[in-house]
Amino acid sequence: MSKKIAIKDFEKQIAIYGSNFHLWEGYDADMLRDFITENDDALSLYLDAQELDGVLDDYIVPKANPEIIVAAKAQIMREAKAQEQIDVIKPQKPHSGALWGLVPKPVYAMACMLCVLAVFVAFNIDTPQDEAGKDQSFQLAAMDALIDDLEELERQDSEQQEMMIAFAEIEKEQEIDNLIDNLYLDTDVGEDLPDDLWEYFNQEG
Amino acid sequence: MQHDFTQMSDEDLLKAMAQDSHEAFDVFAERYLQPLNRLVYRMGFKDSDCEDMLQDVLVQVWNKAEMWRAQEGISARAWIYRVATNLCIDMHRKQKRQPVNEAVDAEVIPLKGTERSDAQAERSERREHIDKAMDGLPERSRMAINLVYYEEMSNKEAAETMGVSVKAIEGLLVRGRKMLKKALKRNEVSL
Repeated sequence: MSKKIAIKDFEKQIAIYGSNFHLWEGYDADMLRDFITENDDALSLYLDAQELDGVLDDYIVPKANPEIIVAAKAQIMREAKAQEQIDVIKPQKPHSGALWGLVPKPVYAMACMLCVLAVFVAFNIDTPQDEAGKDQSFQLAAMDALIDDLEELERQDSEQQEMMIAFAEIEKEQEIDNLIDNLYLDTDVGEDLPDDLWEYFNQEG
Repeated sequence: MQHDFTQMSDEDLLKAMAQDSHEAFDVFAERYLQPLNRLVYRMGFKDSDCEDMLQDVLVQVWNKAEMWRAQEGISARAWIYRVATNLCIDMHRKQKRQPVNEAVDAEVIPLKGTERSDAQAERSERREHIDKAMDGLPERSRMAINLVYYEEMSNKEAAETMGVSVKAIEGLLVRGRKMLKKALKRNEVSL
């Protein structure tokens, strides 16, 4: 048995959900249809809402190209492959506990590069001259690759951090917006809200 | 053991994706491509921006699938939409921060034989006004309208997706409708 509706509740519900009675949770669509045939005020509100819903129905979205899935899969594969390569060359994090955890990544990366440079210099001194050229170019190439990988790691890390900060900001702002929304609903304002208050309620960011 | 991923619930698909199942991703992407496309488009991303954003959303859901279970009490569908919503909002903010190069509207010269009839032109103009009015809504009102009217989510699920209360969703819908009506009247779109 569905509940009956009073005109005041009808007015509130139609302002929220419009003329599509299937969206009205807890109310039977047939009962609502009967209600608008019996109540002129309700019928007028319904027709008004229906006009706007007609416009909303005209807001048609073009279909998405299925190639997007292919592109997304390719991106996932690329990222996985890059991660695998980074994992192979990534220097193992020392297990010396909290102290290393406190070192920022750029400093850590710089320290690693200096170590490699030190090894390179030391190695270069002891190498016989005829072998030196070959070793040197090999070591330079290895060092270049390592620097590239470290830069890539650093870039990925900062991107991830940026994303986490942005998401946290959004969550925080949502709490404030939530409060404003509740205030708005509690104050039960009608159509004739002054423009500056509208702007206040609708401001973003 | 072979799994029939097409029969799986959204929850099970996310669990399988968290364990690197590419077959689960295929089914998820097929299932959500059009709904997410509608959501992203109606959040104001058009043409190639919409495609790029959609691709990002799919990749993010894959990358974050293992994080879903950590958020207790939220359905898989609401969580997927939340990832999309946050990405859209994040991108809007980035775009706002960046200086915008004013796009110069090129004069459109109809090709021979492609002159539009008056009725077509009128429909197209109406469509443009509606797009403009929708794009002009605050992003949260637009999102609430998308989730409840177009995706037919319950107000509870829409609230979960947006991380707000049911009461807040109702407030956003009321304000969204009023603003839309006002904008359309301003542009003299016949309701």
